[in-house]
Parts: sequence; C-alpha cells; structure tokens
Amino acid sequence: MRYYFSVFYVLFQNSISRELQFNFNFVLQFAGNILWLLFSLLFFYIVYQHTNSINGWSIDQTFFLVNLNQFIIYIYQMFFARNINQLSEMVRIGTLDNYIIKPLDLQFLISFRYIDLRPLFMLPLPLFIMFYIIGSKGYNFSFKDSVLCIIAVIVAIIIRYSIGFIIGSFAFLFTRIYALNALQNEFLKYAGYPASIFRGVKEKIFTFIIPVILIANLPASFILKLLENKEILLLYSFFYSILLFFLSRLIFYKMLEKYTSASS
Amino acid sequence: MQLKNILKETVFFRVIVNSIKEASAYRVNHLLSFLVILLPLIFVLALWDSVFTGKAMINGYSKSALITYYILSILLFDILYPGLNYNISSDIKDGKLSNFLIKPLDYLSYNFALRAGINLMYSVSSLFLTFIFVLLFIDSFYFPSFWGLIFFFLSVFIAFILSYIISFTLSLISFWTEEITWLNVLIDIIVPVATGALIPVSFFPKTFSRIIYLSPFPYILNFPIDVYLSNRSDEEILSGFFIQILWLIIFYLAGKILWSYGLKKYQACGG
Repeated sequence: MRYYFSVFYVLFQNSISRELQFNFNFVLQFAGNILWLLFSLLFFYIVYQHTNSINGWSIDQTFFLVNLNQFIIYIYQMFFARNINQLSEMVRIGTLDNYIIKPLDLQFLISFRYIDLRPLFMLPLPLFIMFYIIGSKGYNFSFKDSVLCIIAVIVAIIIRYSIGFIIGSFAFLFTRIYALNALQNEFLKYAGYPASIFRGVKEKIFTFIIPVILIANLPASFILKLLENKEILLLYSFFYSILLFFLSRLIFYKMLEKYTSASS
Repeated sequence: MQLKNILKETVFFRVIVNSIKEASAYRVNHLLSFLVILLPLIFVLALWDSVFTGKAMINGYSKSALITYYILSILLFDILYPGLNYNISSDIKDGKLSNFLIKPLDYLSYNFALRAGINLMYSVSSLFLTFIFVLLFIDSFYFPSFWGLIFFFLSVFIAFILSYIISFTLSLISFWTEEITWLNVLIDIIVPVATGALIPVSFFPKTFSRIIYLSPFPYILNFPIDVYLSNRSDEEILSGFFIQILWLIIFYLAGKILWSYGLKKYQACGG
C-alpha cells in the first residue's frame, strides 16, 4: 500500500511540473468553465421565474445542487477524466505497452497516470456559492450531516469513476467510442437536476439502476434535508459503488485479453 | 448521356456518397447516440413537466409545444451545429490543402458535399429516432399544419447551409493561427445558449435575448423550430427567412474574403 502511495506522490509531482508552465488554453478553459456554470445557473433562474418550487425544491436548493454537481465534476476531471478518455487512444496506437510492463496494478497506473491540476483553480467558485447559500439562507445541519455529505460525495466519485472506467474499457472492443463518452458526460451533466422532477418508476430507475440521483442529489440532501431515507440510500450507494468498482476491474482485465498491441 | 449518369459523374455527388458510406460504418455509435439523446430529453421534459403544473402557457409556449421544441432541438442540434470544422483546419495546418488547390475543385463546395453526406446519414437515423420519440411522447407531440411543415423544412435547409458557411468561415482562422482550440471551447459554450438549444431564446431576460437575436445563432435552431410550432406571425416568419438569408450572404462574403487573403498566407507546411 505504501508503495502505491509513493507512486501516486511521484505522479502528482510530475503533473505539477507540467502544469506550472503557463498556457493560454488554461485561461480559456478556466473562463469557459466559469461561463458554463453561470449558464447552468441562468437556466434554473429562468425556470424559477415561472414557478416557486420544483416539486418542493426552492431555487436556493437547486443552485446548491448545481454547484455541488459542478464540484464533483471538477474532482472527476482532476483525477480521472483525461486518463480514462485517453485509454482508447492508448489501445489504438499501442502505447499501453509501456504501462503493461510496469510492476504495478495496471488499472491503478492508468487511472492516476496524469493528474489534471487545472480544475483545482475552478473549485473555489462552486464552493463559495455553496457556502454563501448555506450562510445566507441559514440551513441548519449537524456535524454528522456534513460528514455524511462528504462520504456521499466520495462514494459518488467512486461510482462516477467506475462507470467511466467500464465505458473506457470498451475501447478494447471498439476503438471509436465517442458516443459512449458523450453518454457518460450527459449522465454527469444531468446529475445537477433536482431529483424531485421524477416520481414513481422513473425515480427508482434513476436512483437504483442508472444512479444519476446518487451522484449529487444524495450528498446535497444531507445539507438541505431533502430526500427521505438518506442514510439508507447512502448505504445502498456505498455498496453499489463497491459493486461497480469491482465490475470495472473485472471488465477491464477481461477486455485486456483482447489487446493486440497495435503498433509493434 | 442520361441525367442519372451525369449526376454520377459529378464530384459533388461522389463525395456525398463516399461520406455517407463512411458515416454508416459506425453503427454502434448511431445506436448509442439514441441513448445520448434520450437521457437529456427525459430530464428536461420531466423538469418542464413539473414547472407546467397548473399552467397552460409559459412565455407563449404550451406544454406540448415546449416538449416538441426540445425533441426537435435535440434531434437537429448535431446536424445544424455551427462549430469549427476540424477537416478544414487540419487541411490548412498540415498542408493537405495543397492537394485540393491543384485539383479543379471548389474547396467550399467540396467540404459542403462532405458535410451533407455525413449529415444525410445522420438525418436518416434522426428520422428513425424522431419516429420513436413521437411514439414515446405521442400525447404531447405537436403536429404542424401542412404549410408549417413545408416552411419548417425550408428553414432547416437554409439553417443547414448557414451553419456550414459559419463553420467554414470560422475554420479559415487556421490560416493565421495554428492553435484554435480556444475558439472551439468558446463556441461549445456559446452555441447551445445562443441557438436556443438550452432553452428558447425568448425565455432569457429581455436585454440578453435582444443581444442574442443580433447574432445569427437563433436563426439556426430556435427559428426553424418556432416555424414548425407556428409560434410566430406570418410577418415574423417572413422576416426570419430574410435574416437567415442575410446572414448567409454576410458569412459567404466574409468566407470568400478570408479565403482569398488566407491563401496568400498559406505556406503548405508539411505538404
């Protein structure tokens, strides 16, 4: 385990030295991301011009949710998005060879290969907005609630990572998986919609099978006191994340057998 | 020579057929695109469904009109997307443009044929998807009048050419700068908002929607769908068509000018 931590530390240092070179693209990505967040908030602002609540969710609660979802997106982008997206390219060109021969767990190495530090600079804005909403609207929550919220966020990131990695693993079967990547991006974008828009079967599907609601709605609920049975849902979410994680390992190593090392 | 043979001999036709073949090779992608479209639709429609509780109209849209708006907008978005054309910028950057310059081919029409071919293929799957979505949302789907449908297709056709000319013109910036990722990032964020894909432009605060209406973007997606929904008066439809064509001419001329200046800068790097 200590060995893995030291490898992670070296990878982290590498990423920092690469990122410290200032580049124009970073500024633009920064501006683009801020603009995107503002447009998402504008969208819900317009929606709330025509209603006071979306089946019980007020505008502040939805704004909190949108920002929490954006926070989770940034964390995912920071550690995994680029690495998982590049998996298909590594399979296609054959550069995966360089990683297979290393005496390390391959999934670990691919997942943490490159840490993107740019989202780190974008994290303060959604955090600030969330704290502002909590402060100005006087939401009361206990220490226990905030710990549970953080655990739910971590579990959500594991779910998100596992789904991303499973989809990325299909690169061994089809080298062009644009649509699959688009699908998982959509999945994350709509995690910022209030769960209350769904009732009945749809709510169950988007909670238990396609876990969109578990990503941002569940953690937000601990602060905003919204979903019922939050604790039970968190327990379900935890076990679901473990299941998905092991499924991602199973599928990845199964698919790896199909790797033909294209370039050599 | 028979007309059929003449048609077959034209380069334009050949390029269209080839790009249809290429696009049809990725069937799994087409199949998955269905899910990529369905997921947002379920979320957006559920959201508006709850907003419409107890209301008949919002901003001039009935619930059925707004549901139809989103179905059409999601189906048409990729076909009418005025983003950068990577083929054009990579042709310029890598010097591959030289291959076209020595051929008796008009580069603008060649790329148009390429895009038309790919999109014809996507349109076929889009039609199939439309059919499924209409069945899924049959209770809420809005069916237009005969003339509404004719004008809709006409406006989509003009929007398709307009969006292509915008892409073409923007991509020519590659003559001056190698790095155009920044432009694409900007377009990817502005286009869904300004075309009305996120929400109909008239929903935005007044000043904001006025600024958007000064750009060509709402005439690419929002306008054709409003025509379908018969949401506008005859005068508005007529002036909409007029503005579409005006933008088409402006971007066509801008494209021609940029092209002729760009060629003087072109160095055929690597070519």
